Amino acid sequence: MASPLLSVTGLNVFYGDAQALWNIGFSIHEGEVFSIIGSNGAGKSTILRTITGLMRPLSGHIEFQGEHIAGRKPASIVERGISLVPEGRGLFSTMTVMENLELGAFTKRSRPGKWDTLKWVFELFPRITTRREQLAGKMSGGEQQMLAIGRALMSRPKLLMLDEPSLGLAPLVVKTVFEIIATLKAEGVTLLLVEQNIHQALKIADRACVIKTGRITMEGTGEQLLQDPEIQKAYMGAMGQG
Amino acid sequence: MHISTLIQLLINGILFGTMYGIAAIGLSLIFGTMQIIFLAQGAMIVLGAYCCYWVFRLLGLDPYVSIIVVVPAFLILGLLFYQGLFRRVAGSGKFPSLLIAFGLMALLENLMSVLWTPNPRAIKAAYSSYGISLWTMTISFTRLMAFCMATLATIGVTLFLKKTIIGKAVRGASENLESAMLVGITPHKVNSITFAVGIGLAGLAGVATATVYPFDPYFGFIFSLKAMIALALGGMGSVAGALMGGILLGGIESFGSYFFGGGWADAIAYVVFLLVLMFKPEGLFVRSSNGD
Amino acid sequence: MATRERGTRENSMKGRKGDGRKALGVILIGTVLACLVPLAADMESSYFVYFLFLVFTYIALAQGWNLVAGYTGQISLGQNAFIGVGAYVTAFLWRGNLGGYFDPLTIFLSGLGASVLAILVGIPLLSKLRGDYFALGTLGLGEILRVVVLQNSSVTGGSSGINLPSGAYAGMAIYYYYGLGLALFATLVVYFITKSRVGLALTAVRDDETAAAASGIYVLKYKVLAFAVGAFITGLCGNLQAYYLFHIDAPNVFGLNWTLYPILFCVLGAAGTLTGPIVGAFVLTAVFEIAKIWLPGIHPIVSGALIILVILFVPNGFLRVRLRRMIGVERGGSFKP
Repeated sequence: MASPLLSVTGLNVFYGDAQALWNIGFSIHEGEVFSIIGSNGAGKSTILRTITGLMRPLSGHIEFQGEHIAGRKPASIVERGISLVPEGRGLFSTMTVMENLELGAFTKRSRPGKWDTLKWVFELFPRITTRREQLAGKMSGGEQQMLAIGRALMSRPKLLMLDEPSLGLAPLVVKTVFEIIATLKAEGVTLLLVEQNIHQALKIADRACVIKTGRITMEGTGEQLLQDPEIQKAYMGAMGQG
Repeated sequence: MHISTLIQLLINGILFGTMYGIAAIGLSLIFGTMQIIFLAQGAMIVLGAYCCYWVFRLLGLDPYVSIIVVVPAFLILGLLFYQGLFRRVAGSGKFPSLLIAFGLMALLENLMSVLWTPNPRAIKAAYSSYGISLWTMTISFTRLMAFCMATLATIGVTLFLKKTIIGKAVRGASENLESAMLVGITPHKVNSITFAVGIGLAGLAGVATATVYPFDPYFGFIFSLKAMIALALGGMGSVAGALMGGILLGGIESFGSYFFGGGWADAIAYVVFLLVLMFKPEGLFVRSSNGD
Repeated sequence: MATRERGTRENSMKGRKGDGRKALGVILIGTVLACLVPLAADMESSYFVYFLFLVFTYIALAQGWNLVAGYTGQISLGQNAFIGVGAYVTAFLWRGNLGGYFDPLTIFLSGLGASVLAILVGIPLLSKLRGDYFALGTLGLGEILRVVVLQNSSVTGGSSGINLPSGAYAGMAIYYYYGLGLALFATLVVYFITKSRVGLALTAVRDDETAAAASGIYVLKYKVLAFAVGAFITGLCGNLQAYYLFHIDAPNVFGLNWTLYPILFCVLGAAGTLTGPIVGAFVLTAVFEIAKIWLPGIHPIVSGALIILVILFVPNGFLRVRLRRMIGVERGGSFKP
């Protein structure tokens, strides 16, 4: 079995004096979709923020393509090929769609092929192609999410991380977002997905884990977790969620 | 009260106000990325004025020509200042940087006073008292030149921000630093660039000041205040806003000076500043995200 | 997790080096020693006495700023305004025969005048969340007053200032003891405020203003209170200056040094502690006095350079910890440049 693209072991992360993550460990293989699910405040975002360098773990290792990246600065991590679509989109709302995408290709690695990448992104997201000069802040939630994903793709990441992409979006839009995620998977992009929308996240995942108050409580394939009675009971409430 | 006098006052005010605007643009850029008010901006302007003066006195270089020397020198100076003074504390919040700026202002003013005496200096070039006649009004040549410099600089900065990738990175980082980091923008890089540009603009404003009226080392503090007033009045986080604020301030000063005398004009400007800060500061320090 | 957080907050409020009973004890011992000095020295000619007098004044000045900045986290850049107000109130009262040399009422009104100004300006400025507004507003304040005073030269004597009856001078002793008393007073005020409920509220405000407001603390009231008390003490320093120099003028009493020095003393000596400003005042006054002898004329440059150097290089445990607490850097440090 080929070595994993991303490997996290023994991660302990603190907010000041308060511990947010306890001994987190998981790995992601190239080409797969890995979902982390859990309720609000469980620590899902913290994992992503630590991987991307916005936070520094107190202890633990993060290995990406064989290199240790824990504690490195965000710019160098993006340069290495990990891109985060942050919670809440994090768009430059006073700048246009085009400018947002352009800035997405800021890293040295992504600059040469910028225009090709742009073409690819426009193919993926036809809706925003027509709004190139529109201010990012003036778009609908779904369009903003697409732009955010598009911007993250501009750096040609090997691993794309999405922090709650369905947050605040109407069900129909959520469906579109997950269709895009499926398309990305088909295009060979490795994905790390963090979600509160359990059903969709597990459906699309190859493998997944559950986080509860900063600890991983369950692991398995997407299928396995979907079928798990505990998960069904605890998270899905009435049938037919998502 | 002759209408032409009023218009003359207005024009004089606008013309020089653009220089305050330039200083304010520098402040606005630095504030956007580093979130500090660079108190020493005025001292930098005076330093620029002195450089222009000495280059004129010792090398005979015309002030307007010396821009080619002064501005790049100040761009580099800005870079050096950032690397040496502010880089280290850039992540520790606003107050260390604020205090360093404060210390720098005190340091520079007194250093200049000691080095070059507190006596006012002025540049007497061939065209210093040259005026252009328009109907019954006289427009000072140097003020007109200052206006041109300011306008060109504003256009330059705007183009930089809108058209270059680094400029866009600066805008992005000013709006949302975290997202900027997520696309690979290094905060130190944008900080040092905006700082360099800010100081470069101060150098330009210094040249304009040197040509228009006499200056002494302690002008720096007043200039910093005026730049901040311009920024406050402008009320927008934009380059255009800073310029407008400067023009408005120039107008207030021009009319205030004429009707109430120079000292009171200053007082009026400060009171306006205080009032704006107290009751309507939002326009000045608006930050969409990363706010308090 | 919640329990740990709370525990941490409590720890941050007590037992910090320089606070508390031990510090107070040291201060009181020092005061007693200081009282003994006049017995050994010739008050009029002793340089040491003069030096101590300076230090006492600066201690009071520093504590005034300390209360506002170190304990509340608001950076005031306009202490010179309060010195000026204190000095001019003294001059007006004395010249107008309503007050006099070391007259208690004059002294009190000098401080009160400064406090009133602080309240007037402080309420609108401190009600904004951004500390920058406050810092800038105070910066402008001193300048406004200076210009106004200069403009109204008929009343204020303009740039040549006002002369006060120097015939009232009756020896150095009163300055020394009054200075000592003022320094002690200022320090005790800071001590009692911080130990009281007010102090608790102030620390909460400093550590996390939003949380404090959410806990029902009327944030503005406490910020303004700290500012006004600090201004009162500073006004008293201005009053003392007037008594000492028998002459006040705008360039002097509204001089930037009055703003610079307390910041410097506190920053070097650790703002937010009781003894920090005292240490800072002693050390730096000594440095400045030496500098005046060896390198006259450049010591304002030294102040500016010192502020920069201290902030850049003084290691953790001194300034950084205080300032971090003051400005509430996001825990977990998301900004890593």
